[in-house]
Amino acid sequence: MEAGITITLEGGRGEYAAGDALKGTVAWDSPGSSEDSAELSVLWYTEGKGDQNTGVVHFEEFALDDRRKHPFSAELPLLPLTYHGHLLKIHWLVRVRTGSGRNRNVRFQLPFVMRAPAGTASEST
Amino acid sequence: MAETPKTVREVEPAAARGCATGCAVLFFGVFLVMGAAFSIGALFVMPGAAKLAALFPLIFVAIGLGGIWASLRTNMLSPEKMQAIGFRRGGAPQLQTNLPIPKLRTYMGRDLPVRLSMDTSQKGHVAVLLAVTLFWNGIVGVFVGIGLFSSDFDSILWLILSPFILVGLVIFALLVRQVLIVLRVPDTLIEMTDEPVAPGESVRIMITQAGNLNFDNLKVEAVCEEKITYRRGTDTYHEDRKIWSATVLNSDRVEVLSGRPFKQTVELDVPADAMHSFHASNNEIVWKLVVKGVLSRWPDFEFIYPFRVVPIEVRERVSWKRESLSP
Repeated sequence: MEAGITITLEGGRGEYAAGDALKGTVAWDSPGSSEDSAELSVLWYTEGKGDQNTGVVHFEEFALDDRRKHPFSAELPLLPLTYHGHLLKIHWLVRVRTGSGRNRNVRFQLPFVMRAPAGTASEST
Repeated sequence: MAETPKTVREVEPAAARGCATGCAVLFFGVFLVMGAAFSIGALFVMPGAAKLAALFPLIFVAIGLGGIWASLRTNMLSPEKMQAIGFRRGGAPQLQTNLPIPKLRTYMGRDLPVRLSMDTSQKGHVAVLLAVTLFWNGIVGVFVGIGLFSSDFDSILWLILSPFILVGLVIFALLVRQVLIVLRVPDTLIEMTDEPVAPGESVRIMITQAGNLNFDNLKVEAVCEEKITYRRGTDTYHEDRKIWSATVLNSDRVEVLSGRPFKQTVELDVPADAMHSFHASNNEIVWKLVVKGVLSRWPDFEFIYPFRVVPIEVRERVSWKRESLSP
C-alpha cells in the first residue's frame, strides 16, 4: 500500500540561509505494513541542458509505522546557493522515497530556496 | 509574503536505470563467460603442470561475478542512498568544507598576497599539440608513404586522403604557432589582494608581463560563464555562455623591455548579485581572468587564469591552501 506523504518545514519556511539547520516533519496518512519504510534526503540538483548533477547532504531511513509522523533535522552546507541561470539552474529540496527495493521510485518532494547568509548579497543573476 | 511550498508527488521513470543495469550485467557477463571458457579450455588442452595456466582466466571470472553482483546491488538502491553510502564510508560528511567549487592551485604572491596559476600551462599546450600532431600525422604519413612509393596508388585515393593531410597541416601549424608564443612570451603574472573573492567586493589585481615584446594591444577581461556537458547517445557535447564580463585592462601600444617588465595595478568590482563559483561534473560556473595579447609581427596569445567567487561567510569559514613560490 502506498502512503500519502506530506513534508512540512518548521514554521512553513520556504527559504533558508546557507549553514542553517533545516527542521521539519514527514507525515503519512495511513500506516504501512511492518516492512514499509521510507528514505528521507536533503539534496541539491542541477536542471538545464547539461546532464544532471546532484548532491545529497542529509540521508536517513525511517519506518512508516503507527506514529504517522517523523521529525527530521539537517545541517545545510554553505554552498551551493539556489541559482536560476541561462544554461543551468540549481535547486534544493527535501525528498522522501517510498516503496521497496528497486521499486522505490515514488518520490514526495518539497522544494526550498537556499540563500547566502544574512549580510551577504543574494546570489541570483 | 512568500507562499508556503507544498509537497509534490511524482513517480520516477524506472526505464533508464533498468537499461543501465542490463548493460552493466551484459558487460560483466562477457568477462565471466570468456574467463570461464578460457579456464575450462586450459584445463582440457594444457598438459600436466601447464594446467595451472587455467588459474589466470579466473581473474576475469572474478571481475565478471563482482561486476554483476555490484550492478544488481546498486540497482536495488536509490540514487540518494548510493550517495549516502559514499559519504558515510568516508566518515562523517564534511558539509562545510567539501564544497562544490573548483579546486584551484594558488600561490603566495610577491607584490600582492595571492598569485593565480594558468588553467593549462603554455608547455602543457605544446605537449598536447605535439602529441596530437605526432599521432595524426604519423597515421596519415603511413598512407602518404604508401601512396608515394606504390605504383598502383589511385588518384581517387589521394582525393580521399587530402582532407586528412589538410587537417594534419592545420594541427602542425597550430603547434608551430604555440611554440612561437612559448619562445617569446613569458607567462603573465597575475596577483590579487584576495582569492576567493566575495560578491560585492572590490579587489586589486596586479598584472605583470615580462619579456621583450611590442604589444599592439594588451587586454585583461574578468569573465563569469556557465559551462555544461551533456551526452546524446555516445557523443559528448560542451556548451558555455558568458553571463558577466568586465574589462579591467585595455592598453594599446605597450612596449616591454628585457629586465623592465610591464606592471599595472587595476581594480575588479565583483557585482553584489554575482553567483558564486560552482563545480560539478556536468555543470559549472567559472570565474576567470582572460589575458589577450596582440603582438606586432607575432602570433596573438590568450592566457586564462581561473579564480573563485564565494560568499564572504564561506571564505571566512574555510581554510584556503596557498603554495609557496619557488625561490
